[in-house]
Amino acid sequence: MNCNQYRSLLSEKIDGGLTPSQVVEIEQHGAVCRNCRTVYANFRTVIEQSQQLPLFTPDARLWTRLNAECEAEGLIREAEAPTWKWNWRAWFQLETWPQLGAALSTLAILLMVATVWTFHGVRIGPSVSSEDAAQEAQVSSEVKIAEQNYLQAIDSLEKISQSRIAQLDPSIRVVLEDNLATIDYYIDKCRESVKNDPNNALAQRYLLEAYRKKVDLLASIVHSDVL
Amino acid sequence: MPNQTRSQPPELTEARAIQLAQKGDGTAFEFLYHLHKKRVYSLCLRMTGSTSEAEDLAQEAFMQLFRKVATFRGESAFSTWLHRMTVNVVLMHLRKKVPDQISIDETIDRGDETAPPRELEDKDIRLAGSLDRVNLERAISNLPPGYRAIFILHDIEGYEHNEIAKMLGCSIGNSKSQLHKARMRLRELVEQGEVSAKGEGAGG
Repeated sequence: MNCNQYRSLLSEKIDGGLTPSQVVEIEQHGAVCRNCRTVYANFRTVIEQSQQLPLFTPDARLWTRLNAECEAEGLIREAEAPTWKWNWRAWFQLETWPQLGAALSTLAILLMVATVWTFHGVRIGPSVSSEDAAQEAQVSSEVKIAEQNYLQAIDSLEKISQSRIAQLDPSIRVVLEDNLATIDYYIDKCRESVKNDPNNALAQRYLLEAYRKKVDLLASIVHSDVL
Repeated sequence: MPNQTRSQPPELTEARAIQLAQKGDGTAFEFLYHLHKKRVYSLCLRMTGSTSEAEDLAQEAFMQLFRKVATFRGESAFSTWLHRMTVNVVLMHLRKKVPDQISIDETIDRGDETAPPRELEDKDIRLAGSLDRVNLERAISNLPPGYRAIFILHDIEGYEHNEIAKMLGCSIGNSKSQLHKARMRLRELVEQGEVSAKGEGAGG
């Protein structure tokens, strides 16, 4: 076996594709040819190191673009808010309360995920330039107004719903209060995230979404026609 | 009596995120994106060598994923399904860009295999066990497009020759042959880079 033949078989040697006789020949040549041994060693090092190369992280704006495109194509659909009206009698049976708990837990999961990604510090939205600063300030102002409206609605609904909740069976009340506490917890987390990064559009959106969900839930309790 | 316990909401899993994404849940989309973004983007970047192209292609790959996620039936692993989609996106892009750019049949061969190998005894170097990653990445990006594609698909992404042959429209034998040449060329580029880094001059 000459050096050309040896080197032509290196890939097969690495990938385990040599016949037994080829294995013998290649080992014999490698034993007497230092150059070829060096070539093989380097060959193997390059392949092994390439297989261990780290992954790259894309710029945060990639998700912004992707999200916008998903929304533009209508791929994202609003999750349905939990409601008791249409099947109130069934809801009031004890065995259906786990369904409510499950629905609220799912809501909580979604809020948690949204909060976790917000906390990862992903900067969503365009970089703030001097030209966009005024526009972002206006958006933040509008978000604050929306937040105030939601808080007022929640305050009113809580006062009314508290009396209704107090009349529920204790075991059911515990579940409901636990889930309301979970939503409050994630509202606090979203609020904290917005406070840390006031121009984070995604954090603002999730915060308002969390408020809306709480309003919907409290409204469902208030407007039930069973209590 | 309902058996509810006071417990923390369970963390989202990939399986659950897929179910939610199939219903159009935006949070699930985002979860799946962050779970797979590095691998998708890295493949696009190494195949194209351009961050802007890589971002565009990664975006396209994820858009295809989100459009088709409702059709995912779990016959293969989700990551495998997404990865194959990404490879197809990249290859289509490369074919449009330069029609024969990734035709490995056309890859220029540097030399006659019957000729004696270059004598490198005085200049050849034994590469350290741990290469300079920057040098290695640069060397990969400097490979001819056809060599780069097949090297990345086989040695970095782990595709088999029969899969590569289908993707690139060549024979399995051709895939193996071209991979070998790609590896040899890459070895030379890395050695040259290492020599340059050590200030010993070009390797020839």
